[in-house]
Amino acid sequence: MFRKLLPLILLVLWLFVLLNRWGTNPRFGYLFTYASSPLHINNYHEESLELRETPYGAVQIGVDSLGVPSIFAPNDDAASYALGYMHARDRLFQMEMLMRTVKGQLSEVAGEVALPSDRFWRKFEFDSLAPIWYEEYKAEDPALAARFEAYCAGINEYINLMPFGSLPVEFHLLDFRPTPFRPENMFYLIRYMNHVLTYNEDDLKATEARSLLGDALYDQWFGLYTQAAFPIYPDFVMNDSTFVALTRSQQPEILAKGPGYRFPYALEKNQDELSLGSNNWVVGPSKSKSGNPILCNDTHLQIALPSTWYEVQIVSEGQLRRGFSIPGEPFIITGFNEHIAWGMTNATWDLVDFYELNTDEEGHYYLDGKLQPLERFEELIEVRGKGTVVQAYWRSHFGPVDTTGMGGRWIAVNWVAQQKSNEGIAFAGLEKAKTVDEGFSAILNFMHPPQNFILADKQGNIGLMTGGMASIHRDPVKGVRLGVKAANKAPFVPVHQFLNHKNPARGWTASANQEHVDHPFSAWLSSRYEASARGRRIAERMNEWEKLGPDELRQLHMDIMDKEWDLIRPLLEKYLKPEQFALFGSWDGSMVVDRIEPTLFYNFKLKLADQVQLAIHPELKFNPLQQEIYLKLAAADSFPISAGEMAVKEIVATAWDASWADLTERFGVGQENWQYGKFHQTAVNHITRLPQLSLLPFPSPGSNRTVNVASRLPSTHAASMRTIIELTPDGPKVQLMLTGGQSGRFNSTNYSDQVAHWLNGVYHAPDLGKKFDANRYKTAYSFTRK
Amino acid sequence: MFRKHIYLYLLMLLVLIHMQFNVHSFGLFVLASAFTGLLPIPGMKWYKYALVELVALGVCLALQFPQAKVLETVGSIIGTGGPGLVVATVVVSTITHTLTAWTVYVWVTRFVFEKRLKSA
Repeated sequence: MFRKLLPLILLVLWLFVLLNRWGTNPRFGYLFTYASSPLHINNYHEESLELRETPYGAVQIGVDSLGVPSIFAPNDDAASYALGYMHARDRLFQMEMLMRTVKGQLSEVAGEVALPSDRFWRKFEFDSLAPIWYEEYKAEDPALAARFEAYCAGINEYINLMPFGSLPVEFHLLDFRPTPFRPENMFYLIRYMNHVLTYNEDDLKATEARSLLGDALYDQWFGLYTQAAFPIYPDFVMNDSTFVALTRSQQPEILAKGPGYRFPYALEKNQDELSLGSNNWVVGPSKSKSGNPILCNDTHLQIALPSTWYEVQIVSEGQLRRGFSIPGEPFIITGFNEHIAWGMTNATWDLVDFYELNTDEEGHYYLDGKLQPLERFEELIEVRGKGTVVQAYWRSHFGPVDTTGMGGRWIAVNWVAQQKSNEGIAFAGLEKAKTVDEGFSAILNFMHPPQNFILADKQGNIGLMTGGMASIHRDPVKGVRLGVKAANKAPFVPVHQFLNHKNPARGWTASANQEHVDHPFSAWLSSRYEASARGRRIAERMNEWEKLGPDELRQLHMDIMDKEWDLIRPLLEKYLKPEQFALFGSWDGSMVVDRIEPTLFYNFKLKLADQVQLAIHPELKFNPLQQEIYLKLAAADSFPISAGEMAVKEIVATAWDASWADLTERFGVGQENWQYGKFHQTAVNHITRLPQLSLLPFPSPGSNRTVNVASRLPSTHAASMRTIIELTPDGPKVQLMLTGGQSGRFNSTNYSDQVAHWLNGVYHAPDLGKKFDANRYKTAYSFTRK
Repeated sequence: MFRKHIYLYLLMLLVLIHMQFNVHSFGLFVLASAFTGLLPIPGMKWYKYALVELVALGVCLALQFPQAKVLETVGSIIGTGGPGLVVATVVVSTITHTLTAWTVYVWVTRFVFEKRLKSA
C-alpha cells in the first residue's frame, strides 16, 4: 500500500511546492516548467507581416530600423486602434505598471516594496473616479471617446492575440498576466505625469523648517521671489486691479505654525532631484537663416528603459502628424503636423496644498465654526506574499486625509491631479491645428500638469502659452494652512490668458522651467522655480547668433556650459587660497568629461549648498534653492544661521575641504584621476531597476544647470527626447531623437539603441512620406476591415 | 514490451511535445501528463515516463533553442545563470511529468489492468 501511496503523496507535495508562491517569488511551476517558462521568449513580435481584421478600416503600419511605426489609416479611430496595437507590442509592461501605480495596485504584483506607493495613491480614489469621469466625457464628446475605445481595442487585440513568446519577460518574472486595457486608463497617465511633474510635500517641509528656524530666519532663506529673475515672459504686464482680484491678496490665510511641527516622512527631494527640467525654444522668420520658423524641444525626464516617450508617425484622412506619444494615450503629445509644430516644458508651479484640520477626535472637524463629519473609508490593498492590508482614509472639504506619518495631526491634501480633466481634448486639437492661434485655442483645454507650450506655424508665426491650472492662494507663503474656513481652500484656476505671447519682437521665445514673470504675481504661481541658468544660456546663445538654422540649434541642444560658474567663480576667487583657485585656470564653465575643473566645480557647489543648509540648522531638511544660496553668499561677507551669523569665508573653506576629501576618497589622491567623466556618469535603468535589464553607468557631460542637462549623481534624468522642426512652405523638415529606444523588450534591437544617439547628439531625419510602401520599412503590419 | 507498445510511446511523445511547445500552460501540461499516465501500457515503470519527457524536451529545445540573450539575462535575474535555467527547467518539467503520469498509472491504469486480470 505504501508503494502505491508514495507517488500520490510525492505528487501532492510537488504540486504544492510548484504552485505555491514562496514570498514574492514567481511560482516555480510556471517559471521552471518548459511549457510556461520564459525560455519561449523570442523576437516573434518583430518578425513578420501580420494580418488582423479590425472594425475600424484597413490600416498599414511600417516600422523602420529604429522601431518607429508609421501608421497609414483612413480615420483617427483606425489610427488610434493601430497605435494601441503598437504601444502594446512595444510597451505592454510599462503601461501595466503605470496603470497599477495610479490605481494603487502595484503591491499586488510587486509585493510589500510597493505598499507605500499604493498607500499614497489609494487616498485619491482615482480607481473609482476615472470610470465616472470617462462616462461624463463620453456624453460630452462621443467622437473623442470613440477614439479612446478604438485605442483600447487595439491594445486588447494585441494582448489577446499575443503569442506566448511575446509575453514580456517582466510578466514572467513577476508571474502575472496583462490586464485588459480600459478607456478610463487614459486618466491614469495624466495623473502619473502629474506626480512626476507637480507632486511634492514642500508645504510640510516648509512648515517644519519655519518651526525650526522661526519666521525671521525662515523668510531670509525661503523668499517668495528669486534674486535673479530671468522670466519666460519678459513682456508680461498685469494691472493692479486684475492682480488683486485674481490673488485676493487682501485676505491672508492662517498658516499652521508652532514648535511641534515635524514631518519626518514627508517626501524629501535632494538638491539634484530638484533639477528636473526641460527646454523649448522657437525662432521666427526674422531670426532664422532660411526665413522659416524652427521649433526645438527637449523634455528632461528620467531616462529609463523603456523611455517615457514613444515616437510615431500617423497619416490619417490624408494628413500627416508625427512626434512623441506616451503609451497609455492615443495622441502625439509633442511633435508636428503639416502646418504647425509644438513642444512643452513643465511650468514648475506649486500645485499641492496641505490643510491641517481641527478635529474633535470623534470623527469630526471644525469648518466655518461648525462640526463637520470626516467621512471614513477603507481601501483593501492586496500585497503579494502578505495578504490584504486595510488602509483607512478620511474625506474632508479640503481633500483626503491620511494620518500616516503626520505625527498625529489630521492633514488633508489638495492636489491639482484631483481635478477632473481631459487633456486628450487639447492634444487632439493640437494634432489638427493649422495656425498658432488654433494651437492656442486647443491649449485652453489643457488643465494639468501645467506646461509651457511653444508653437510655430507654416505662416511664420511663433508663440508661447502656459496652459493649465494654478493654485491661487490668498497668500503665497509656503506651508501647511489651517483648514478652518471653507473659503480658504485655494481654487485651481487657468491663467493662460495672462501667460502667453505671440511673435515677440526679439524674433524668438523660449522656456526652461524658470519663473514666468518678473512681477509679484510670480509668487502666487510658485516660489521654487528652476534656476535661471539654462534660460540665461539659451538667451545668451540666441543673442550671439544673428541668424541661426538647425545646425546652431543642434549645438544649443548639446550645450554644456554651466552658467552657475558665473555665480561660483567670484566666491572661489575671493575666498579660496590662490593655489586652490589656480586649479581652475582659465576654465570657462564647460562641463566636459575629460577635464578635472568640472569635477572640482560641481562637487564643490553641491557641498557648498549642503554645508550651508547644515549651518543654517542641523535638522533642516527643506533645502534653500541652490541659486539663492550662491547669490546670498556673493552679496555679503556673512549669512544668517540659527546660531547667529556665519562668515562666508568659513563656509567656502569648509565646503572646499569637504569636497576635496570626498573626491580623494572616491578617486584617490592626485587630481589626475579626477576627470569629470569619472565623477559624472549617467545610469539608464530599467523601470524595475533590475540591473540585468539596465545599462552600466557611463561618462556623460553636462550638469544640473546646462542646457544639455544631466543631473543627479549618477545622473538618471536628462533630455528624454529632442526635436528640431523647421516648418518650410514645402512641409516640415525635422530631426528627432529619443533617448533610450522604442521597444520595451530587452532582447529587441531597439531596446537601448538610441542611448548613444542621445550621448553623441545624433538625430534621425524621418521619412515623412504620406503613402505606404512596405519596401521602405524594416517590418510591416497590415490590418483589414472586418 | 517497448516494441509492442511503440505507438503508445509515440503518442505520449507527440502529446508532450505539442503541449509543451504550443500550449503554454502549466495546468494543461499537468493534464497532458495525466493523460499519458492513462495510456494502457502493461508493466510501465516510472523511469520510462521520465525518459519520454526528456526526449520530448530535447525535441522542443532542438526546434527552438532559447536566444543566448534571453538565457543570459533571465538566468542572471533568477540567479540560476543561463545553463542553470535550462537545467532547472528540464529537471522540474521531468519530475512534474513523471510524478503525475506515474501516479495516474498506479492509481487508475494499473488498477484497471489488475481488475481485468482478476476477472480473467
